[in-house]
Amino acid sequence: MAVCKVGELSTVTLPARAAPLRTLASTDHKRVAVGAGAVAFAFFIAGGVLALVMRSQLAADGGVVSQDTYNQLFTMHGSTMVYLFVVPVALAAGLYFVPLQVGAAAVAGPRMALAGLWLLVFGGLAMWAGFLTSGGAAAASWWGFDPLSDAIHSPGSGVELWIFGVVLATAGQMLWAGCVLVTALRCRAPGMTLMRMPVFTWSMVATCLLVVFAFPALIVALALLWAQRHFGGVLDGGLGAVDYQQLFWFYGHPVVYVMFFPFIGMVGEVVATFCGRRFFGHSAFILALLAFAGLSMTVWAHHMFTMGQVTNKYFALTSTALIVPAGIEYLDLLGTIWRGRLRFSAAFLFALGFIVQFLVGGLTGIVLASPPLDYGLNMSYFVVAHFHYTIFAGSAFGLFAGVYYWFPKVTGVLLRERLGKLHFLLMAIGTNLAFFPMFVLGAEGMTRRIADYPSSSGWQSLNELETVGAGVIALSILAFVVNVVVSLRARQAAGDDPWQGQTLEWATSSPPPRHNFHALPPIRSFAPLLDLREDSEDLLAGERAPA
Amino acid sequence: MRRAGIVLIAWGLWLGVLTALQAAFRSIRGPLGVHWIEAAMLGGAAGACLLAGLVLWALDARSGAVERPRAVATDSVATATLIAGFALVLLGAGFGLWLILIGAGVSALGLGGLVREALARRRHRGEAEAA
Amino acid sequence: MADSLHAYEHVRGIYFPIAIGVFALVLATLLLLLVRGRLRQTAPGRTADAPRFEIGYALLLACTVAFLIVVTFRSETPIDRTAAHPAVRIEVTAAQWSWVFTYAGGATVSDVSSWQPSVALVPVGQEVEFYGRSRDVIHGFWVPQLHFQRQFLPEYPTRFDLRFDKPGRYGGVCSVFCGDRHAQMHFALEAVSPARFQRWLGEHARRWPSARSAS
Repeated sequence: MAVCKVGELSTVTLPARAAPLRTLASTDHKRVAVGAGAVAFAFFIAGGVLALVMRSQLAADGGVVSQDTYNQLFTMHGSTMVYLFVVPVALAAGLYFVPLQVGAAAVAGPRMALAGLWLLVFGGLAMWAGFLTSGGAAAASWWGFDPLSDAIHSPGSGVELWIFGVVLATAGQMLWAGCVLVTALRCRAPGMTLMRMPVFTWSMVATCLLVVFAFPALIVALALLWAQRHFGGVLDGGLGAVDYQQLFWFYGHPVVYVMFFPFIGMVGEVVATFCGRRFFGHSAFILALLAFAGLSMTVWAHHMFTMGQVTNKYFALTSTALIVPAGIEYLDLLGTIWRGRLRFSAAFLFALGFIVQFLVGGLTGIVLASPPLDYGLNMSYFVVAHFHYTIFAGSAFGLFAGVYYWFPKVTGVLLRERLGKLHFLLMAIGTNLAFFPMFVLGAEGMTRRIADYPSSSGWQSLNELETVGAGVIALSILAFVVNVVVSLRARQAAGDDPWQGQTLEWATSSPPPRHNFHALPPIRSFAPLLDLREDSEDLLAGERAPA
Repeated sequence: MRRAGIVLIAWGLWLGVLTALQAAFRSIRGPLGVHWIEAAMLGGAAGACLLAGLVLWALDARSGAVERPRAVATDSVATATLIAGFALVLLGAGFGLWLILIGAGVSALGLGGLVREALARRRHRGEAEAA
Repeated sequence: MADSLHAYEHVRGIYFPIAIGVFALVLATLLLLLVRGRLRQTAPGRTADAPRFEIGYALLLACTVAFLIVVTFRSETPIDRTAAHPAVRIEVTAAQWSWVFTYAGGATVSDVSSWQPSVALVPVGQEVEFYGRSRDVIHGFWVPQLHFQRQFLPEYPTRFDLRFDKPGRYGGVCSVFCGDRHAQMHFALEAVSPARFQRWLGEHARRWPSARSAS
């Protein structure tokens, strides 16, 4: 069985290297992943501040910001959250933990992984540099759909910088996905067969397949947009506008699954660990993940139902069919809790939050998958509520489950449990306050991307409630930041395996050494450490039984 | 390890089935019919995935021998430099030739650094084999 | 028959209860499992799969999909169809940030970036065909009370039928983000008796001569 082996190579090119430079240029997948996670988190804060300003505008009676500024705010909020936060952090988690979970000493293509980090940094800077130009940042929504985004209707550098920023960040994401996918397929330790890879690794395989095979469509769409802005004649007329959206959404739907699969994978690991038992339906879950990922490549034009220019019924069918793999995955998560011995840690609470709240997003997605219903709800706050439930109330909760679970492994230090539970409580309250009323507003006819609405609509009070919710979310993030700072200062050592983990990342030190493992335990299933514990339990039980 | 390609082959076939399903909707008459771009994008992804899987399968079938250990640089400033140069070239397309040229220069520095890393790797492997 | 309102209410009446029911079922199951797990004293269970149960469950889910699709397709087909001989045909032109409704005979109603838009009349109980396009970027013609919207593309016409069963005022907004004054791009339709509608058409045609006859 071929294995990727690495040996220590001293840097002979430039002998005396300063330590900070080492970190910025390290090819250690763990350092690259932590760097990417930190950069992505910084963009999350920046995008969150934009959201707070937007929410103040919608709750206030008069103008907090001008309409033009508001359009920049929601464009940059959406763009930052998708291109610069959730997708990078999802892939960073894979970059850190997939090599560990499959027993590899390093990621495949370590310099490509490093390149991805720098592409993210330059992409984000380019996009945000728009705020410094005279025309302001891009204001044509995170889709950048034409003709609104063309040179006539969005003159100036804002959209130019946005195009380059998105292309750079996306290129980096494609490199990361290639690295992680090849690592899972070709760099596994002896004994680690495909079917013995844990659920998180398989969720990353599904994610990387989507990135590799769907993201190129975005690069093409943006290249055509750039050509249209500079030369014209590429995306002319109504059908040109449709073509742009066909290309954009071919990327735009898989990307939301890239923002979902890694987090359900993390939740799966957290649930299995804190229920003290093997993940239920491991093979079914893997099959469901791959089927789900494939289906998610075929649903994209449900974003275009109201154009009258796509095959509505095909896309309605494939979109509704998503119920099957999603239902199997939920069955397996619940099955893992069944007959478990539960420990209600902060990580487990976030995982439970994901399970309940993502379901709201998923079910409302099935509602939107029906064209007769979509005709009445598209482009309204119902859609805004739907995707914030899936991505924030869902995936972000899954992300924090993963963070509380894996923080000790990455840093060697435990996060405070009580602060973590406070973070969870505040975030759950804030999220539901902020996003649930949006379903009602959408059904009442409040369209999205508006800076203001008539007071005769009666929407004021719900908007104020949502703004309170946004404030509570901000408090919850503050609690998290305080937790991280306090935990890193007054360090409580975590040890190798603070949670009685089941997968290989817990079989090495916290943090792991440069080449990940000094020795590997025997790999006989997808939960090698659980196997060892169950063996010793059985041995003890056998010894205690009368002869 | 020979099985790795199967994941891509299976997924590519699944995408192919879903592409073929579009044909069932071509028979629907009226203002909505299958548009070629829908079949082309999905079919293209299916074909690309299938091809990648077959290539991987062929590669794995050939490499039966034990793989030689890889030597990997612990860090690579050259990579960061190259990406910085590339980003500047791209931005230059919107801001002027001067930026493209600066970016090209930085990229050249990065490429040079990568060449040095490759030479260092070759030298290291030579020393290890000589030892 | 282009009855988007009743189609929406019919489909919603099936989808929403199912969605709420599924959510309640999953939540109840989860709470039950959590409570039992909290009280558990013995070693955790080791059953890690149940293939026949999973296959059966998947088949159940597939049947649900089939049911929902039948409901959806049956309701969608009539809405997407346009009548061969509509009673009234109104041409709509959307632009940044205005709506212009042009009737046969030359009457026009236009709304420019206003939350108190001018009212365009339509007849009650008849098929009204809207034939529209945009002059610049994509706009969205949304009548929330009819639960219907269609995007207007630049230079490429969109046709759809609407039926207004009840008399009264129907507010409209631009649903697709179209730039600075997107939030102000409202329009208003009022459904009146066919007789009153014809009178109004006649009056308007006299007051504003047809644009086509102007030299």
